[in-house]
Amino acid sequence: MKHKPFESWILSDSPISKTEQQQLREHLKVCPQCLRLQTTWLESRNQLKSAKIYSPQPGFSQRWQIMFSKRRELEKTRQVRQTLFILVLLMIMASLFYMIQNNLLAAWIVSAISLFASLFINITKIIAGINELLSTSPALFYGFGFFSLGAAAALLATSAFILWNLLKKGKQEDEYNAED
Amino acid sequence: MSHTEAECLQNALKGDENAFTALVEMHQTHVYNLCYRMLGSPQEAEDAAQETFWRAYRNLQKYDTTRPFTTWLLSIAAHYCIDQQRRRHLPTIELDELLDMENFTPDPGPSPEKDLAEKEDIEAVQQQLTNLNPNDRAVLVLRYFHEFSEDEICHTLSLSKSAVKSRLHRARLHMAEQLNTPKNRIKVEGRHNETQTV
Repeated sequence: MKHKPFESWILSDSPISKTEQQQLREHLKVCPQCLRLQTTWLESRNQLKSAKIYSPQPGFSQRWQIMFSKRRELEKTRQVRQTLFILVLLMIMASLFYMIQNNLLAAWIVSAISLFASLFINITKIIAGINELLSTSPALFYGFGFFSLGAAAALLATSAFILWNLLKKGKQEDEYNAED
Repeated sequence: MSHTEAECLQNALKGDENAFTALVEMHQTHVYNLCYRMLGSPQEAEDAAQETFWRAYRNLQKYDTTRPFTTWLLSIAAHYCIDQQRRRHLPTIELDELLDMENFTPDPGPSPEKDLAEKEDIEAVQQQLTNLNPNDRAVLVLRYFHEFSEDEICHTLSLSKSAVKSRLHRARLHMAEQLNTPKNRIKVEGRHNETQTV
């Protein structure tokens, strides 16, 4: 049995013609499936029409104002950060441009490399000196080792704490900036 | 558009934050109800409603003043809720679990039996909505909870008229079929018999 037009007529909001109404009535007499659809849809429509309209908990506009001022603050901070970033970027670009124009870039690269090289040499010399000093006494060796481990652990803990704080802050900002 | 709403809107467009807060107060129920019907949880609905107003504030200059403000707000809310639904697929909950979970306080009615029946109806509607695809749900919610015409739904959801019609048809069919499940059929028939006896 074909149900297509009858199903559409049953579920349609727009009125149907008298001929269609007659055809539907006749079809419903012989088709229990469509009759059930009509009954359940009418019941369902009544449920939809009589369903409760939900309101937010009292104080919605106050909560909105709090959220609004927080977001405005975050937005301002973000704008300041963006402006600073753009300024720094512009300064770097301007100095690069100036250096290229005056053939200073190559000289600057060479001097930067030589600075790093001399730094490396000096650090190596310091390490060699410490090593020489430590080899004279085992107590000094273990003391230095203990101090270095402690300092490394403290550095690691501080870095982890900073990272955790940054992640937490980022998460909070994400919650507020979820709109995009 | 009411006179006060028009005034608030004009002031809000000039950057008056208090005027916008007044608009929030005026439209909170409409927006919250749509979000609740779309998302099915009070907390998510609250967050979505707040988000809707924030987005509306940010894009207020883009608002076309020839269109009703409510339609524009509900359009933002509906799109946001559809996106939320797409991002996290809500787990489907059994009706019994839902009834246990909800601390729903019914209005003081004539009899506890009637209250229970009403509560079951409302929660059944919500349950049936939850099982619908987000786009079809949005169309149905706007049609029946906000009494939008098909044209208004077209504007609100940026859909063609034929798309709205087919979504409405699919959603209605779904709602009827949901009510036709053995569990719900017993309830419907029982209530039908009760009314016949009365």
